[in-house]
Amino acid sequence: MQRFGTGVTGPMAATGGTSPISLIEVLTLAGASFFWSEQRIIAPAILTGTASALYLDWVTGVPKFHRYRSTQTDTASFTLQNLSGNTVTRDAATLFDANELIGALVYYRMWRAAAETSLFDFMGNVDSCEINETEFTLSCEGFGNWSAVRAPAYQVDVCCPLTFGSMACGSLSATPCNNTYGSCSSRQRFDGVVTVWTSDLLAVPTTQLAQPAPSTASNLQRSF
Amino acid sequence: MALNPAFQSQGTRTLPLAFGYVQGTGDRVLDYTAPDGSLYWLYLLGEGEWDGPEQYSIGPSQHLYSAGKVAGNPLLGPAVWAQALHFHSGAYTPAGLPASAISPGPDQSYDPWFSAFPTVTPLQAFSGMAYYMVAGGPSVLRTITVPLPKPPGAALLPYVEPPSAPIAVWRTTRCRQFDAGGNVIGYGFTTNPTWHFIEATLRYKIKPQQPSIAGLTDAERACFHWQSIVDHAARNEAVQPNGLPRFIGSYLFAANATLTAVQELILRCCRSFQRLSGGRRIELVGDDPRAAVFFFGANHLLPGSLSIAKRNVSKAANVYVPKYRDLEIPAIAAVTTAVAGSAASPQPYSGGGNAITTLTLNSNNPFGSLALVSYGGGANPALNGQYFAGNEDIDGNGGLIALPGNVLRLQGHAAGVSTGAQTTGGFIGTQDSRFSERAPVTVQHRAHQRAVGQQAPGIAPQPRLVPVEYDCGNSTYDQTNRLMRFECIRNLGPDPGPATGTSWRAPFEGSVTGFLEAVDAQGNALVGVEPGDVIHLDDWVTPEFAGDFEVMDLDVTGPAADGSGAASLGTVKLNLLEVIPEAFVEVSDPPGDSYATVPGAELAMGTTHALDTNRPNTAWVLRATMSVSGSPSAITVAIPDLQLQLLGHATPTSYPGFHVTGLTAGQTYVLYLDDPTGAGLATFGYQAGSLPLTTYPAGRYVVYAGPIAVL
Repeated sequence: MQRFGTGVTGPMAATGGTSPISLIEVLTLAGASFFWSEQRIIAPAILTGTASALYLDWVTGVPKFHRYRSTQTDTASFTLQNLSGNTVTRDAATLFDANELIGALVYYRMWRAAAETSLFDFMGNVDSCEINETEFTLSCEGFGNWSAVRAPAYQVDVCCPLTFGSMACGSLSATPCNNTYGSCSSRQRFDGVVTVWTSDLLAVPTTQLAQPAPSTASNLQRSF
Repeated sequence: MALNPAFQSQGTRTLPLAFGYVQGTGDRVLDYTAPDGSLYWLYLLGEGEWDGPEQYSIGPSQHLYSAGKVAGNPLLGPAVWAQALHFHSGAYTPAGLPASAISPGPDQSYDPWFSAFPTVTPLQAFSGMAYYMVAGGPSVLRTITVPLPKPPGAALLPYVEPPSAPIAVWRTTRCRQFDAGGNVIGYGFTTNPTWHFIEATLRYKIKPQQPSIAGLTDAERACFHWQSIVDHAARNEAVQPNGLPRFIGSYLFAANATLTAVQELILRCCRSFQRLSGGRRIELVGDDPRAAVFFFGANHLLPGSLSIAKRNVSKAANVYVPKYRDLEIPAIAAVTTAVAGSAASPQPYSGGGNAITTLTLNSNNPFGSLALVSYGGGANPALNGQYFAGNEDIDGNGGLIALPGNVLRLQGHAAGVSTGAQTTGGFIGTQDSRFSERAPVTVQHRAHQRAVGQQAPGIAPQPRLVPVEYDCGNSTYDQTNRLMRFECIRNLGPDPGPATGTSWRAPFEGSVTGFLEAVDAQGNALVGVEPGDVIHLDDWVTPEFAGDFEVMDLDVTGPAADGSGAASLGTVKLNLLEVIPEAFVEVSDPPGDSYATVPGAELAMGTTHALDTNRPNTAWVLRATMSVSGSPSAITVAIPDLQLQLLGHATPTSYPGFHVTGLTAGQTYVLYLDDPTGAGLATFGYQAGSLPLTTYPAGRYVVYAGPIAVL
């Protein structure tokens, strides 16, 4: 349960007064940030740490959220306008074209401006975005998207399951490996199992078997 | 024997993730018979670090023996297996580690038995993976006597019996423990599901592929509701009258899955749920009785939105079956009397040396031959313990122990028990039967079975049983019984019994929608209600169904930008389930004869917050490329790229100035640094010889242990 002070709950319980507004922040992997609300407003931003960010009045419709008691992923959806622009292009469509929003960080606050307090927060990632002649819809999944995370994450294989350059890998080379032993520049950390010897054979093989060169293969459990 | 073993490529298989106690052999990836007949096997266990073997057996001809660590030698592991088993815990191998750095474990240097393999086998340290090697045969020398219960004075033999099918009970993943500020306060083996949940979440979502002893950055710390986590850990750790923690967890995940599957099993085993507090911080909540946080009145209600119904349980399961492996020892026979003997009067036994304890059973002796026997539950708890029955001719010195009728003579003598000490009662069982597979059907809702079993007029209702199985990992009867009764009562309501069932009814569920800015008389805001919270519907909202309901999930709709619609000010829709206080079961049903276990024979449960006294200063050496210079009798070793991950620090610490002088080429040393504050300002030193260090002051970390290269 989230609790609020009387300075927040008092105006909420009273009749009349202003309603809360939405503050939606989006931050793409490329570093582009967007701020939207129902009204044009200057307010602090969480994702960029900006004390005074300009939120454009693009939010239409009603933001919707679904939260679960289980490990099911929370969801959210926002609808924005796709009407503003010039005689040729529309702002939202241009943004949609120029930026990759899939996976972008999203932070939503239901903002009580008078109390400078958020009544409801949602943090997650953009899961999908659709655009039509008048609207631009973002569907988001919450931070607790456990079903999208592989666990256990590693396979026992001739290929190494580690991500090149991660702390577990420890490689300082400028040349990425292809997860094989031959291309590994941090062999103390190599996590593939290169050779399997077995004594199951009862007879000496008639063919001289040499260690084959490690083959290039894809370890599907390799985490990115 | 195969002198030219063939190379075989291997199929892919998942490297397991495990928490708590598991029993198993591991994944054999290397198997080689040397020309002299010595045998070497390597088994991968799982993602490191694991704490080590609790009990071990080389195969069906031996039993699961427990053993302690070698005193004063923190890195050699259990004494009894030092000559036949090398366990490596699964830390990171230092980058830059020389090939000469060999160690029998538990660190992650190269295992010395690798030298037995053909040189075409590349030297591997399996960084980050817990694994063990076993060996036997002429070249593998026994150096340490097998401890009790074998009679003392056994002669040392050079030959170590090769393993046939090794199996062990493992203490698996070491987990970080945190305080309410999100700071690492401990690291070690634990059966507390709280720390399992946090460790899994950190490893796969927040901090993947980073040392599992690292602390958190501020941003990482902000992802968790730490007070709830600390409270949840304490709740699980609370000791019950049976001496065990309230909730324990032991499980192994060995199939490709998602973090959801891992979390769900962990949460199920401790009757808990998780949610995002404030939409962004991971919070753990125990499913225990809790007070309502919002009192829902008529003035909060969106008109026409209340919908209450009975749960549709017509096809619901009414037999709740936990599937688990029993961490306790099944009781095989009951004991009538037990009498402790002595070395001087060993009773009719000619084996010599050890005292004999005599048990009179209520049945014939169940052991046909040798066995490790656990006795517990007698009136005198001093006689509880592990004994040996039969002839375990490990080194050729054993003698036959007669096992007549219902009298069981056990070799061994509980410490501190005087000769002739007697007790009555109790049970016996064998260590090897731990981890038996169980699926008790003791949790049944008999009223529901009869209610759905009505056939036709004049025919008595026949109970219709619908089972459902729950995976509970490795657990105990007590815990799984409490968990299943919780699920049963929560889903179907209290069971008045099979007599008539007329007083039974299904739980209520439904939904109600309130205004976004609703505030109750206590000043609680509806928008602050979170999944899992309990709200109270007062009788102005619903006279028939007033009471406490749990929020299973909720929909929040923000205010309409254009102010249109009846709900233009925003709404909160709550999907509800009736709270049934009887579901929070704290006392399990009696196990009866089928599921009785030997009291006092439990494995150690709970959490060891304190670091291992043999490893008081936990750090991983991440990088150490040694540079050796000087004359053979005055070697200087410098490690300009030295980098350590200290326990609880968010990032590694570099020590580029590491150097020690005055070493002799080819000799073995332990190089260390002293950094009491962990700020990277350190002094450096060395100790001639092998581990352990003579002293471990705070902030002393081992950098390298092994021979110094010859110039």
